[in-house]
Amino acid sequence: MAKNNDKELLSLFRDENTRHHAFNIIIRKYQERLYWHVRRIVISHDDADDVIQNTFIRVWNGLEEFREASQLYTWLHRIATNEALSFLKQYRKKFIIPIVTVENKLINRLESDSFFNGDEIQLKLQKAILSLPEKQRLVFNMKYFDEMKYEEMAKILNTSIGALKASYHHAVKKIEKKLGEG
Amino acid sequence: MNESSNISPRLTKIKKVNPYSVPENYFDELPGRIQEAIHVQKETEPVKPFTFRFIRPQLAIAASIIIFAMLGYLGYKSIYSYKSSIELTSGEIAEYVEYYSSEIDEDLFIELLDENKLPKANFFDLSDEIITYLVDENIDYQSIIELL
Repeated sequence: MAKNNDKELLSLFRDENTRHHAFNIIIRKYQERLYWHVRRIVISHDDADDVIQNTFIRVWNGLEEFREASQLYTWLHRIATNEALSFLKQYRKKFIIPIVTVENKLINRLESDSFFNGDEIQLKLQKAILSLPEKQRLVFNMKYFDEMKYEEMAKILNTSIGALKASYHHAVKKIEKKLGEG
Repeated sequence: MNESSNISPRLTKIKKVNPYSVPENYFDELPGRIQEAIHVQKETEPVKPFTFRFIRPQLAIAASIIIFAMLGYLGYKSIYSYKSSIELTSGEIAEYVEYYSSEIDEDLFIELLDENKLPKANFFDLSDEIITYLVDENIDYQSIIELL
């Protein structure tokens, strides 16, 4: 859907009579892209479902104040990313002993996830991605799977393009090394 | 993808697929579930009555005044309760005076006593207890009185 249609949706949202209808269209338009983005961060479907619902509730509460300084798609992605990272932060607080890291827990979840259909090499790749530092993991997923442009990513993550390129480069090198192990 | 192929030949060989899946009809049902969650949120939101919204600034000012008054009162109380808590026994005062006797200006001390109209000790009004003590110690208290 083109940028103009987002403008149209926003003006429909601002009208009390068409608000719910407009919001329904917005959810249908962006839910899949946002869901997969969140799912790659939190791994399990149940957690991704919680995060995506919270994301859209936040969007509902804040959309009236959205002044279109950025594109709707960028704004939605930023909210979803923040929600997913906040979820991991809360999850991390549960582990007092540093040996049990969130990443280890996420790998365990991945292995037992009934909604993971990948083969052995896909599992190995996902494990390699989970071994990356949080920011590198985020950048790698956005670039490799979502095929986002650096300019777009820079707006969502509020980071410079140079820093993103460096993060992606390091991430790819680490994954290559992990894939070569055993 | 090109930029990663140079540094990661193994990654390039892996077919890029989404290995995750979702329950059946998940994306068909999600918008309805979100709308429902929003509806529940709206219903559970506490509705502020109009009068409360109208007088809220006034209430805030009143609360601030009360807090400041309480802080002032507590501060006053703590200072004065601290002062009154320093109560010395006569023994402690005597000890203090003895210890700092070299530094006390006797004239100034007496002057202060006069100014404060403190009751002066009546040296001639010896109690029975003191007289008994002097007798026991074989001290001629009559001569002491005469000397005074």
